[in-house]
Parts: sequence; structure tokens; C-alpha cells
Amino acid sequence: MKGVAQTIFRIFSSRAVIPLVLAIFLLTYIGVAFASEEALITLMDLTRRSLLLQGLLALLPISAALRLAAEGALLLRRRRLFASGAGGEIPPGMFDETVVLPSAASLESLGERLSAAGYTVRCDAGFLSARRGVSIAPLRLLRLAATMLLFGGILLSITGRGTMKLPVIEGETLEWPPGRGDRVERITLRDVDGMLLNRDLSIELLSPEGRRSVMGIYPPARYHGSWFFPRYLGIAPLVRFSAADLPGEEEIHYLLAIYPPGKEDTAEIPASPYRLAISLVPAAEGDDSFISGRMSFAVRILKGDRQLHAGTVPLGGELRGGGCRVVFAGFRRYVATDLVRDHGVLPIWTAIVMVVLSLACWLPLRLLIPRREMLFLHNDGVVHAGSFAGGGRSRHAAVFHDALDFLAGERYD
Amino acid sequence: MTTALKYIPLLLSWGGIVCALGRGFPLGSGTLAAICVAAFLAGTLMPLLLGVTVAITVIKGVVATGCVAFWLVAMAALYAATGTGASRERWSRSLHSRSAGIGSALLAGLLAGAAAACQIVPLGGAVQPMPLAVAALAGIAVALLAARGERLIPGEFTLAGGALLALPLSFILLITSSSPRLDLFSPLVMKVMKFIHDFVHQFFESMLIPDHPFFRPNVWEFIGFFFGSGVGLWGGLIIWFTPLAAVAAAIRLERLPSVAHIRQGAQRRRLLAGHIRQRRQRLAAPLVTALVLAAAVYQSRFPAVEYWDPAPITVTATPAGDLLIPETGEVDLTDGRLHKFLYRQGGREVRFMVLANPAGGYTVTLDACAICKPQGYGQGEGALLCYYCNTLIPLDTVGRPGGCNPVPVPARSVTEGVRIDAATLLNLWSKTVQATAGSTGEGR
Repeated sequence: MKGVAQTIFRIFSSRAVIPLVLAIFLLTYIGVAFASEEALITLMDLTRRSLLLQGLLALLPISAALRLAAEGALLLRRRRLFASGAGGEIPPGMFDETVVLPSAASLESLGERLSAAGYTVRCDAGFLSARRGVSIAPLRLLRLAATMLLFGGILLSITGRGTMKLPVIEGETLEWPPGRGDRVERITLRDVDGMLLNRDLSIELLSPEGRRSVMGIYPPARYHGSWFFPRYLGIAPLVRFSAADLPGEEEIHYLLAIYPPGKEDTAEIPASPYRLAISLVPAAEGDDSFISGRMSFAVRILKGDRQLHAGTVPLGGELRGGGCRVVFAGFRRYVATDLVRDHGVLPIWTAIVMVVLSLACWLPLRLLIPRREMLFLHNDGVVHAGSFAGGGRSRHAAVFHDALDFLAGERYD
Repeated sequence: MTTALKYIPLLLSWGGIVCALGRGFPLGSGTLAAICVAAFLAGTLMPLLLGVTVAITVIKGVVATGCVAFWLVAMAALYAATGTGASRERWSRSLHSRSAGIGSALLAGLLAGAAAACQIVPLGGAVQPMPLAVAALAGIAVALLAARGERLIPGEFTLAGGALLALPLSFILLITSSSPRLDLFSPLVMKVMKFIHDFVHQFFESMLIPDHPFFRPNVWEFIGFFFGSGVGLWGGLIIWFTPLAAVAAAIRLERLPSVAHIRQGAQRRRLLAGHIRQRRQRLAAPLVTALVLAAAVYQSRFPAVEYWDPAPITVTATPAGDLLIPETGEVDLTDGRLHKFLYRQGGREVRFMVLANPAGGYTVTLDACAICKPQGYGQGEGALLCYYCNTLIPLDTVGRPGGCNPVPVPARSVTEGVRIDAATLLNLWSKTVQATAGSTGEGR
């Protein structure tokens, strides 16, 4: 049983697993790209619906976790070996070069030579370890942890994400949770001088229990266990419409996607052939209609395919023509918002930070002070020696070979 | 004469393939020449037997599969070189067999012959036997010369492991890139651009990152870089050259043999120097391959083809907000050519195109796609070309949404011509094109 577990551990912690799984996904992506223009979205959708692909994707965080355990154990073992020569022999696969040679030379003298060559030496009876530079092994562990979090997060996000669209309108109560939604007290957009953002949106909510909260832009706030993700800004004008052939005046609050200026949206007059094509007139330089609340609308009054009248009307004003009258009596700010339930967001962000951190440290360490290590174990007139270099291999190998020559007494007798 | 001149790089590439096969596989020059000649001849017949369109699809499919296989081989080579797994010798042994050589020569000859013929046989036109016969004879002559001339290449130039696959494949890519119909680099650039566009979009969505009206303009410009053709080109170049870089890295990172057991310093140094020299010599093949791949990219980016690109005609809307494009008038919409129009309203302007379709109606699209900056399209033989990313859009797919296809515009074919809703046109332009232009102040 233990043997089977070890075999499974060895297979899944192999460094081939992650590249192989990624290659399979890459080939699947290429295959999907032949059949669909939206290959990425289609692949995500396929993964959401296919247990096989989910299992394959799950192999990535599992393999990263197992490799993290394996490499963590290897790092500890290596540290013990270099601290005290624990075990008395050099394990295979831990060094670039290993050699066994008969020797009667003292390790203490070798230690002095290696110290003079710039190595930090630890020497005990029958044991000598020498090292230079900084090990990048902890950064590897950090990168593996990041890989585990990244692919774990992607798996959680793809399989468990749920989105609900929620119109957020000033003065209205949110539709979620049903009957218990917070009331939107105020929506404020303002210019800020941030490092990344130059605008800040705050949505002030008042819960039925009287608790106040503010939903911002980023990082996204939580609302009843979901991420509160504002997507578009919109304008909700209160429009009064009357026409000669209609019985009375219609008063409707439309939700229009006409912000920022340049977009046109259509407002249908219910139970009539009339519709209004509305767009926002660009505000004066330095002004913003959503921020200031000062706005004018460009309106085309249409009846079927026929345009009856067109004109511009300021907020609070009216437009008459073609037998119709349109009044923009008021407006409310409106934010098209998504409530997103996704447990992958935090792990993915954490992983990104960890990867950036590990790469930022790895490059200077690898280039400037790479780790170089040697180990010598002396037993019954035989020396077991091992050498490893993360960088600066040639010079380190020369020192190592020189040390072996010294131990063998070939050049120093 | 021009066709003959265009054919010279193709023949040189074919010669390069034969030389590379001769150097890489244990085939005698006679056997190699016989296989290559037979395969090239069979390849030239392929467009005649299958039809040019099918032959093009087959060639592109096989070459693309070869590229994917090269990627996998290169990564496996790098994996073997950096790990403790399979050794280089094992890789080389499995790739260097005689049967692998025969198979490679057959495939390369078929592809080269078919690609050569596809450049001569017109799409849907009558086959002229003389140019085809001359091309086949030239291909045979080059194969015979190259099979014998291979021995003139210095002995230090060796092909092993991934490089053995890389060099012939790079020459095949050079052949295909000489024809926009067969080129793989431009579609790759477009696919990469689309992938990065989708990836960035999905990343923003998944990570709940706010929309661009909230970003500082310089931050948005930085993000906008990921939506440009530059990123598609660079991404394409990375994909194009990465396997080769992996092959070179696999050679460079190969561990030198352990000399720790040798107690003579001079002997150690001699042994290591010999291995280092041999490793450097093996890097020559990836270097040559890189040059050939770069030439293929150049041919793809600067094709020697001219495109029909009429100046846009300015149109105005009717009081009802419609644009009516008459069937005949300033232009004849039925002539099968691309016609461009310009509509201005206020400070905004929209470029759109009208093209007669085989069903007898008209296809109306923006002169822009949903992913590239709006630099417009030109019309070539059987296809439109996106000026921004150099992607060819087959005419029969114009009017379908997605990818680098021009964005379709809803329109009605009426007796007088084509009727388009001006507001829909403006909104489509705003929605799809301004976003790709990287402009700020636009909703997602």
C-alpha cells in the first residue's frame, strides 16, 4: 500500500505533469480555434461542462502541491546534510557531479583552502560542507505555491463562478436579496489623482437594519457574500411623453446606456408605435454630465421607421415637434452592476503577487550571487564528494576539481 | 518573367530542404534524390487532383501540424537537457533513423511540390500545363543538384535532435510564406492577437478589474498595447521562434560530462574544451534555421501583392436616419469588387464597405474588425486583406462575425440598392472600433 502511494506520489509530483497538462490544454485550444472564433471562451465553457477537462485542470494544483511537498522535503534534507553530513552518504540526484576517491588528506586543510577561495565552510569529523551565494530554493517553493494557487484559483473560478446582473439606481432598493436589499442612498463619481485610476465611484448603501456601507471600484467590495462589480455607468432619465394620437401622457424611468456621450440608446413608448432615440450631448470642456448632473439630450422621435422630429433638450426641459411632446423631468444615476460569486479571485491575485515577487528576487540572485555548494564525507579512507552550482559553473567546477586533486594528493603531496 | 523570379526563392528553399535532409539522415545521395524527385513530382500534381482550395487547406494543415510537433519536440528536448531524464543521445538515435529520413523526404517533397504548384495554378482558373511542367522540371533539377551538393557543406555543420526537424520545417515555412494563400505567419499573428485580446478581456472580467473610464489615460494606453497588432506580431514572433530557441537552449544547457574522476588537470580541460567546441558547432544549425525563419517572417509581412482599395465615397442619411446606397451610380455595386463609403455625423465618422455576395444580395460591413485598429481592408484574389494584421479573409466568409473578419452591419437589400440604419452604423463603430483604437472614455 505504501509502495503504491509512493508511486502515485512520484508520478504526480513529477516535473513533467504540469508541462504535459498545459500542452494538452494548448492542443485543445488549437483544436477549438479551428471550430470557433471565440476559442478561449469556448474552451472555458468546455472545461466548465466536462469532468474530464476539470480533472485534467485539477492535476495542475495537485501536482504543484505534491512537488511543493517533495521539494520542501528535499530542501530540508539538503540543509541537514550540509549542516552535519547527516546520513553519511551523498544521495543521488542532489548534485551536478559526484565522485568517490580514496584519500588520507585532512578535510580541515581543505576547509582552509576553500575558505580562502571565498566559500563559507563548515567542517566536522569526517565531514566538510562549503557554500557561496544565496540559494534560490525558497523562491522555487514560492513559485510552486503560486502555481498551486493560480491553477487552483482558475479551477475554482471556472467551475464555481456565478454572476447576477443587478441594476443599481440612486434612490431605489436593490433587488438582491429579494425583499431585503439595501437602499442606494447615493452614487458619486469623482475625479481623483490615483496611481492607476483617475476616477472613483462610490455607491452608498443603507441596509434595512440601518447599517451604512460604501461600495467602491477597486478592490471590489463584498455584498451578501458576493463581489460587487460595477461595470457600466448609465443615466436613468424620467421621461414624460405625449402624442396627439395617444390617450394620455406616459411617464417612464428609462435605464439608458448613453454614458459616456457618443452612444445612442432607444426608449420604446409602451403600447404605441413611438420610440425615442436618445443620446447624451457632450458636456462642456472640463465638465462631466454624470458627475455634475448637468446634461442635455439629443432626441429623435420616431414612429415606426419614420423620424417625426429631432432636437436637443436640456434636463428639465421639453421638446415639441411632429405632434409629440417629450419632457425630461429628472434623472437618476445608474450603475449596471454584477454580483459575482467566485472563490478563485483571491487565490489568483495572491498567486500573481507571489510569482512577481519570486521572479523579481530570482533574477538578481541567479545572475549576481548564484548558489555554489560542495560536500565532502570522509569514511574509512574514502571521500564521497558532491558539487552543485546554480550559476558560475566553470569557476566553481575548477575549485571543486582542485579540491579533489588536493584530497587525492596528486598535486599537493 | 515575374512569376519565374518569384519562383527562385522557392527553388532555393527546396534545395535547402534536400541538403538538410541529406545532412541529417543516413540516406545515400542517390536514394535521397530519388525520393525527393518522386515526392516533388507527386506534390505538383496534388492541386490538379484535389483542387487548389483543398490542396491549400491540406498544405496549411500539414505544415501547421508540423509546427505543433516541432514545438513538442523542442520542449521535450529542453526538458531532457535540463533534467535528469532522457539523454540527448537517446533523442538523436530515435530521430536519426533511415526510415525517419525516408518519411521526412517524402513529406517534404510532397509539400514543396504542392506549394510550388499552388503558386502557379490559379484559383478557379484554367491550368496552364507549360509553367507547371517547367516548375516540376526545375524542382527535379534542384533536388538532384542539392542531393549531390550536400557533401560540399562543412562536416562541422551537424543536425541533431530538434534541429533536424527545425531546418527542413523552416525552409517549408519560407516556401509557404511566399504566397499569402499558404502563409501561416499572418494567421498566427491574428490568432495570437485574438487570444491576447480575449485573455486580457477575460482576465479583467474574472479579476473584477474596472472598466477603462476609470483608468488614468497612460494606464489605459499601456493596457491598450495588449489590443494592438504590435502584441500580435510580437506574440507571433515569440511562438514562431520559441521552439528554435528551446532547441538552441537545449544544446547550450546540455550538461558537460563529469570529469571529477580525472586527476590530470590538462586532461580534464582538454575533454571539456572538446565538448564545448562540439556544443558550439551544433548551435550553427539553429542559427541558420533562425535566419530562414526570419526570412519567412519578412516575406509574410511584406508580400509582393497589390490590393484593390478604392477611396471611400461620402454618403449622407435620409431624414429618417437611413443610408441608401444605390446599386448603380457613382459605383456599380454588382461588379464583384469592394466598395467603400464614409458616413459623417457631428464629429463622428464611420467607414463601411459593400460587397456583392453570391446569393445576389449585398454584404455590408465596417471597414474594420473587432480586434485590430481600424486601418481597413484591401481586396485581393479571393480574399480581403486586413491592413493592420495582414490577415487574409476569404471572400465567402465576409459578412460573418468574429476574428479579423470585418464587423457585419445589418442592412436591407432593396430595389434601389442597399439600405442601412445610420444610428446602428454609428453605434457599431463606437462599440467595436473605438474600443480597438484604444480610445478612452468609452464603455466596455
